[in-house]
Amino acid sequence: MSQTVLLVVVIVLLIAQGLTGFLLWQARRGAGAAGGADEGVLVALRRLADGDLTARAESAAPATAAIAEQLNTALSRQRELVSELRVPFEGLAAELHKLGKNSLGHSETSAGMGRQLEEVKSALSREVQAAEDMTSISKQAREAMGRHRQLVSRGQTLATDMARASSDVRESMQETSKSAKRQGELIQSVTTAAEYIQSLNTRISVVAINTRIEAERAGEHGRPFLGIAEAIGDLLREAEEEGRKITSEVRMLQNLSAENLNSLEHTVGAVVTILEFVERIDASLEDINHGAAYLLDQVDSLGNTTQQSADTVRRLHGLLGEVREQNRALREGAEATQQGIATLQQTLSTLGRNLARLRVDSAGSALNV
Amino acid sequence: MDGAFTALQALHQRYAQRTPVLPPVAAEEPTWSGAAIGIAGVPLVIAHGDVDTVIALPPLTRIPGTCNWVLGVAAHQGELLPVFCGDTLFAERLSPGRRREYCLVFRQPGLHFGVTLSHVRGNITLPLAERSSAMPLEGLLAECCDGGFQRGEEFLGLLDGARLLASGALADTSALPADPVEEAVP
Repeated sequence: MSQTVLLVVVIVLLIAQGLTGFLLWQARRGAGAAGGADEGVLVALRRLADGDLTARAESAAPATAAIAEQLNTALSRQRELVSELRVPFEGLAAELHKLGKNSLGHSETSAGMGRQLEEVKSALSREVQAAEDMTSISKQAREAMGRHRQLVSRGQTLATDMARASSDVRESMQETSKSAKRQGELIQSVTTAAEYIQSLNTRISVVAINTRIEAERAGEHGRPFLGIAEAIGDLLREAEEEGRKITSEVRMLQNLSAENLNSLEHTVGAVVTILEFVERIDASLEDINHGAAYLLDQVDSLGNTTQQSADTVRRLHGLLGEVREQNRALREGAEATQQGIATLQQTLSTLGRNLARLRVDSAGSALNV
Repeated sequence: MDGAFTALQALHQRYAQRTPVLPPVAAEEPTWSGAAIGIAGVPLVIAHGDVDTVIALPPLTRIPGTCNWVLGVAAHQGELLPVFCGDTLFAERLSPGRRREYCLVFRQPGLHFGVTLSHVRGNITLPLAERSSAMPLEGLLAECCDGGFQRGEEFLGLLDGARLLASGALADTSALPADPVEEAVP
């Protein structure tokens, strides 16, 4: 606003100076035409032409008296105008100086901001790279978790099959155990029979001994009993031999049956233990599966968050580019402003020097710029 | 005539060559026969002549005041038969749980009793070559055995009834002290 006013004032001054020159030219022309111009008006016009606004035209001639009066009025008004122009001119110079300093500060601030923006840009680039790496890691983790869940699912299937097989084995073992117990009972029955046979053999032995005793006691008459006793003895020996074999084999069978039964019971116990372990493994796999699902959710959430963060960082990167462009435009604008201010200052300086040549009082120039 | 003798001689020689030689008669090995029994788990043999009979252990009636190896008396063939515990008498230990099923009846002049057997094997015939005078047994069994037979690693003591009587082990069956416990009535 002040610049516009200043320009208007300067234009008015130039118009007034042109008008004064025109009036001076007409006065000279009138004086020449009249043949005798007023010397006072001419002197005033000469001084006005030299920039001395303190000049005063005086004329006694009626033809130029009005001119002199108008000239004096115009000079008075010009002096006032020049005097009033001093304060705004100085203010304008001071404002221009401050504006230049501010513009320089803005330019420096903009340059610093540009550097900071470059650093922020590189930091954001690193953030983008980190976010992309995190996204890639999340993807890999998700794939790994998927494979892990597949393995756990396969392990659960195997555990289920193993539990079913173990249950079948247990049932089979229990049936076999029942058969073995029945077998043991049969063997016990056979053992009892063998022991009874052994007892019969003993009784036959007693009969044979008594027969032999009676035969010897009967002397010659007892010889037939000797043959009977011998025959009984032979039969007894064979029976005892077979009885011993049967007893021995039955005992072996009994021992084997007992060992088999014991082994079966151990096996059933081991199968039951295996079933318990399988159930524990199944429960552990279930826990692992739940944990894996939770981890998968967390990884998904992390991936989404990372993706959003990456998008945000990319948008920030884009906005930062716009800010950099705006900052560069501002810096260029500030530089242009500085150039304009310098030009304006130079113009003001020239104008000041020109205005300084105008004298508004006897003490000195009108403006001291 | 000579031809006939010659023919007969040739025939004799031919048959003499073809006829198999008679097997040599093996000299019979002298043997000993008896009954194989066991007392207190110790295998023994005893001559049939020393044994009256072998019977199943009959029902017994305990006799108070007798030694612990006197199981009691039983009715046998119309007589009273004292029955002694072979385990306690010969091995000085109680019967190992299972009740003995048979007893050996001795009938010696002036003595008729039975001894429980741990097992009865039957009649046995042993070569006299296996007769041994060594005595690996101990205690009353060693005193009552007249040697024995060594069959491999097993020694069968030959129980002798006369030695049993001579040992005096059966002389006193009372478990009470010799002196009367009660004082004489004044």
